[in-house]
This record gives sequence, C-alpha cells and structure tokens, in this order.
Amino acid sequence: MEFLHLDIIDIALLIFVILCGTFVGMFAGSLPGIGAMVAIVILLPLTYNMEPLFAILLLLATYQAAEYGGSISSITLGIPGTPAATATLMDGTPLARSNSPGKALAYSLTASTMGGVFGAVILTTLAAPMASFALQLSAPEFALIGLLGLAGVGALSSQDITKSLISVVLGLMAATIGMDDFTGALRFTEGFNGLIDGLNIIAVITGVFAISEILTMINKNLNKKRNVDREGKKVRLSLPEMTKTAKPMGIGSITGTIMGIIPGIGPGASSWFAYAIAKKSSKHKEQFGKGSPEGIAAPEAANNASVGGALLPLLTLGIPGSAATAVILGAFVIHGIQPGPEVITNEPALTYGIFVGFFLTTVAMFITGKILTPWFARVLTIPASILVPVILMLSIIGVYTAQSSYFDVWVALILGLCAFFLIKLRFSIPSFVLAFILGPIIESNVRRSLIMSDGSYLIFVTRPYSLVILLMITALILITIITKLNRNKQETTSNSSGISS
Amino acid sequence: MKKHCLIIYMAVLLLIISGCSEQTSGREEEYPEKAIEIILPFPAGGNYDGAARTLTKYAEQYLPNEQSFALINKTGGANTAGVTEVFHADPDGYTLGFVQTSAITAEPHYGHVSYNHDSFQPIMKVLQVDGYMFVNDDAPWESFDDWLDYVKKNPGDFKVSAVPGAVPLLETIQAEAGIDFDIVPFDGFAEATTALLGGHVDATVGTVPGMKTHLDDGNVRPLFSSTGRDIKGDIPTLKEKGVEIEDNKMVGLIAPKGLPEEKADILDEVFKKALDDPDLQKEFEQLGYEAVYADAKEFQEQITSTFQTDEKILKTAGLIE
Repeated sequence: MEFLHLDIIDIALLIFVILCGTFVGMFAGSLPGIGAMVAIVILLPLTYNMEPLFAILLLLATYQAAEYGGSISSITLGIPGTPAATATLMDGTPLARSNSPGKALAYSLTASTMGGVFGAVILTTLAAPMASFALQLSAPEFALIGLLGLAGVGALSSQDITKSLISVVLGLMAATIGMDDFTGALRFTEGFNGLIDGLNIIAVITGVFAISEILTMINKNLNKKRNVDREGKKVRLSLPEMTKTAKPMGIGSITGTIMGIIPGIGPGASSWFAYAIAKKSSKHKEQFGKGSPEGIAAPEAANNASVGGALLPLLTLGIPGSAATAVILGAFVIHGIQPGPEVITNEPALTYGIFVGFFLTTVAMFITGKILTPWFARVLTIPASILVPVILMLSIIGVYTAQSSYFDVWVALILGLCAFFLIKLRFSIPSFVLAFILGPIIESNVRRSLIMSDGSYLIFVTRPYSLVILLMITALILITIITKLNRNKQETTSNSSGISS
Repeated sequence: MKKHCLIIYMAVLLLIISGCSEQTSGREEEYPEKAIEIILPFPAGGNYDGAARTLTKYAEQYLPNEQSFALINKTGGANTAGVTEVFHADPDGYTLGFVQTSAITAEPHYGHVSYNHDSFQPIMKVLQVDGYMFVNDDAPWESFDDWLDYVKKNPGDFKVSAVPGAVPLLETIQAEAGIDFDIVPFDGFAEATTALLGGHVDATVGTVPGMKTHLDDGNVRPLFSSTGRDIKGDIPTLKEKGVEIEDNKMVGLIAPKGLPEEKADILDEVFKKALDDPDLQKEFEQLGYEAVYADAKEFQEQITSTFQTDEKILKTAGLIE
C-alpha cells in the first residue's frame, strides 16, 4: 500500500500534527462559544503550506477533539462548550456536582472515543453504500426527522410537561426570526441588520446557558468552594461501569453517524436524538436528568460519531455533511483537490492516509483527554468569585469570534437575562434550545416537500423512508400516552386500595 | 567624563535616527509600509476563499517593501457585513475587500445597506463566475430546446433546486421566457446539489467551481448558462436563445472611495502581475475558476450595468417595488 511509503520522520511528523490538532481542538471546544468550526477556521491558514494529507489530518484531529472538548465545560461548569454538547449537560452537570467530576468526564471521554471509532469504522467500510443511502433522503424525510426530535421532547424534562411545551413554543418562535429563505421576507427583524440571518446559534447557546449560569452563580455565595476529594477527580472507569454504558454508547454511535451523514441536520440535533432514544430504551429512566452515566454516554458517543458521518458524503460525493466539514472541503480545494468519487480512485494514497489518520485522531483524543481531564476536573473546586469573571470574559470573546459581531454579544447578554428568569420560573432551557435547533429544519423542509409535491401532503406517506419515520413518530406518541394512562390507573388503584384498608 | 561622552553620543544618535525617519515619511512611494488587510465577506473555506488565498499568495511576491496581506473573513448579512466594513474603512490603502459583486449590485436595492453601487473605488475584476443550469447526466433533455419544449408542455412539472440568492434570477427567467417551473429553495449549495444527485429535483443552478467534482465525474451536465458574455464550448446562453436576461457574477477587489491614485496604481500592478502568472492560472483552473481581468474603470462600468439588470430582476421577481 502506498501510504506505507512514508518514512519514519514523516510518521513522527504526522503524529505530531495530529496531537497538535487534538490539543487545539480540545482546548477550543472546552471554551464556551468557540467550537469545532472556529478552531478549524483558525488553523486553516496554517495548513496552506503543508502536504495535503498533513493538512487534512490536522483539521480532522481538531474537529474530533473539539466535539469532545465541548463536553468538558458542559460537565464541569454546566455551560456547553459547543452546541453539540448541550445534551451532555442534562446528566453531566448533576453527576459532576455530586462529587464525581472525574467519573463524569471519564464516561464522556470513553463514549466520545467509542463514538469516534464507530464513525471511523463506518467511514472506512461502508462509505459507498451509506452515501447512496443518504442520497435517497430529502426534504420530506428531514422534516419528519425534525418532528421526531420534537416528539421526543417529553424525554427531556420529567418535571413539568406544560412548562416544557411552552419552552418548545418559545424556541420555535425564536427560530422564525430572520429572513425567510423562500420569499426573502424579513421576519421579526425589527430593523436590526444583525437579525437578517436570524439569531446566531452560538449567541443563543452561550446566552441561555453561560450568561444565565453566571447570573445564578452571582445570586449564590460567591466565596463558596466545592470540595472534591481525590477519589472524585479520578478519571477511571471499572469494567462493570463500562459495560453498563455499552448500550447507550451503541445508540449514540449509530444515531450520530446517521445524522452526521445527512447534510443540514448537524451534531447538535444528533446528540439530543441519542439522549432521547437512550432514555426511552433505558431500564433506569428515573435516573436520567439526575446524573445518569447513560445520559452522558449517549450524546457524547453521538457527537463524535457524527464527525465520521459528516466526512462520509464529503469524501464520497464531495458534499459536506456539516458546517465544519464545509471548511475542510475548502482545505481540500486549496490544495487543488476536489473531493468526490474520483479522489478515492485517483489518489488512493491520500484517501487511505486519511482513513488511517482518522483512526489515529480518536486514539490521540483518548490519550490527550486522559492526561488533561484530571486538570479539568479541578475547575469545580475554583471559587465562584474567580470563575464568574473568567467565564463571562471567555463567553463574550467566544460569541464575538463566531461572526465578529458585537450585535451577537448583546443578543447573548439579553437572552441570558431572559433565561435566568425562565430558569427561576422552572421553564426548560434544553427544550427551548432543542426547538430552536429543530425549528428551521422542520419549517424549511415541510415547505420544500410541499413545493416538490405541488402542495400534496401525500408526499410524506408515499415515500418509503418518510413512511417509516412517520410510523416511528406515531409509535413514540402512542407509547407515551399508554404508559401515562397505565401509570394513572396504577395510581388510582393503589390509592383506592389504600383507602379500603 | 565618561558620562558626558555617553550623553553626547546618545544625542548624536538620536539626531541621526530622527533625520532618517523624517526622510522615510516624506517619500510617497514607500506604500505599503505595513501589512494590507483584505476583508473577505464570506466564511473561511467557503465560496471564493480559495481564490482569494491563491491570489494573495502570488501577489505578495510582487508587493513592494516585502509587505504582506492579512486576510480577514467578516461574514454575515448575505455578504453585506464585510462590504459595509470596507465602506467605512479609511481610504489609506490598508483596507481592501475581495468581494462578490452581488453584495454591491443586488443588496442595495433592498435598502438595508448604507452603501450603493458607486460607493467604492474598484481596483480590478479578478473572476467572472458564470451561472449554469445543471441536470443529471441521464436526464431526458439533451439540449436547451428539448428542455424548453418540455417545460412549455408541462407547466409546473419541472423542479429546480436553488440557493436563495438564485431564486430571483429563476423567477425572471420564467417571466421572460413565458414558462412555468417550480423553484425549491435550499439553504446551501451542498443541500441543493444533493437533492439533484438523489433525483428529488430535476435541475439545480450553480457555478463551475461548485460543481467541479460532479462535472469531472460525469454525473451532471450543464444545460444552459445565464451569463451575458460569450462562453467557450457549445453550451448556449439564454441571450443566444432569445431570452433577454443576463446575470453576471463577478468577483473583484474594491477599496473605500478616496483611495489615492498612486496607491491604486501600485495595487493594480501587483495584482495584475499575479493574475498573469502561469502558475496561478494553473491553480485557478484546478479549482474551476476563470481569471478575467478588468481595470478599475471597466470594472465600475460592469458593476453599474449589473446593478441595473439586478434591479430589473428583483422587480420582476416582485422583491422590490
């Protein structure tokens, strides 16, 4: 094989490049607001003078590590580092605060690595069939996938279903702001140019999670320190702990890879899907939201599996599966290579080099994570009086960096203030964010489907894949209703028996 | 004694230094004396980022005083955010823009930008990017006439995927040619192309750089072009087929108005030399870009005339009054 012609210096250099990318990615991912996309964009100019293989692997390592890095701040601070790490917040934060940040990070790292490896395996073995599968999906399927996600919203909050649904509606409303791509009409922009492209996702996430968390911290005792003993900082999992999370890891890996392949769905939505499915199929549903390891494993496996998934259509069809891979496409193009089926046949050395290197990125992520995580776990022990200004500064920088826009910084601050009160009133911020992510996917794809079908809703049932998804949505809703009815029945019978005795 | 010597020594040194610096600042041809910022209104790795980086890589070799270019991606507002920044910059020759002209020729018609089509000092046109309608290779329409015939006989049946920016043009084509097809808008070029490759739509509109992979693979083929100029090969343009519509996509360098002529001349010379470099042309060709030079005056004329055709297109599409 061609790629084995690399000499020892090249291999050493390659490993160095991958480790550099991993470090930068993990660091950038862990900073609120700065995600895979920004990290890749920052590193892109450095790759112009590199060999194509080195350039691509540097960016892939960054992408892979940033998806894990995002969960570090989700777990330790309760602030997602990247949009794809918001689902990790649900269980990561409670577990870390109940004195085991090390364990929470270990679950996340293991799951991320498994997800990354799974994505890589699919990429190397099933690239061609998966790509032609992806081509068969279009607007009707995407719309229904989005609806399926909204239907799963019941899985996110167990407390107050009404307030959770109100949060969903708020999220959908926030998502309608901006120019309507179908007619060019401006919706709710109120004359602000900064709103023409809609609310920026980074500004929204940073606002509702980071800024609101800062306000909450200020409301509490600023000098209080959390004590985490040595045992709590340890980043090690026992075998039973690993096997316990094998199922959610599998769910996350499969969901993440499939969602990654589909252009326009994105890792943010895929980790929520994985979370919802893992909860539905878990034997310990009641632990979800209170620090369940399964609730960390599923979304974490998903966001890393989506990396391999997003690369698949890029390498086989020349179509980027996510915003970050669109930048990587740019890196290919700058080296005079147009990814597509031709590349695999014409440049086997490069293609196999990328495949092998991609596996190495997951290994590098695991090792780097293992070394750095104990340090990250200590973040929890820093008093809030120091954390608050640091997080505030990093958040503002992160939001500004995303689009170099001051307007976005104001958006984040105002939404943060709103979110602070919504949290006090026990509304569900994760439901809001999920609806905000899924809203545009559902809206534009329903409208697109109806244009394709000349206005007929039959398009959703006449296409085989969309029919399957439609049946899944129906089943999900039916199961929820039946379990609720059964529980009510049990409660009434137990109540009446209690009275009679 | 020693102390005195030192003071005198220092004083002489200072005099010499100040003398030197006065001399340099007095000479105009020292431009550029620091790095030149070029604002790219599109994201890194996207659209014309590759073209901008290739061009500046070559242009730096010809830049006086061994200075360099700093490329800054300033995205948002359909490219208008970056262009607005160029508009507000000092015309000192240290802030330029590498822009798609649509941000200058189409966006001002909507009235939500602070500049107009003649608010800039153009440096030069760099690329001409022609728009095409692509169909799958196994599509039944072999020629433009085949296609026109089909669309006329089956109104509302033919479906075209398009990014939002291309929708007004498609609507104008329908109005001008008296035909009716469905436009399916997609958020990005990747999604629009996927819909075509998967057979969910019949055609898509796009450019050669964006379609390079699929053209090379023989999966898609162009049916016609909407450009106003004569193109090589046997692909017809709408104008040749009697549909009076033209859409000229250009990419070029602009500066804020008021840029001193000497500086504009230096920049024109630097970038023209880079464009003439055979190595650059080879790299552009690999990416599917076509370097088409026009000087500042000619470029401004083309911007102005495209500004007028865009107004017509947007009016026909009912987007402006």
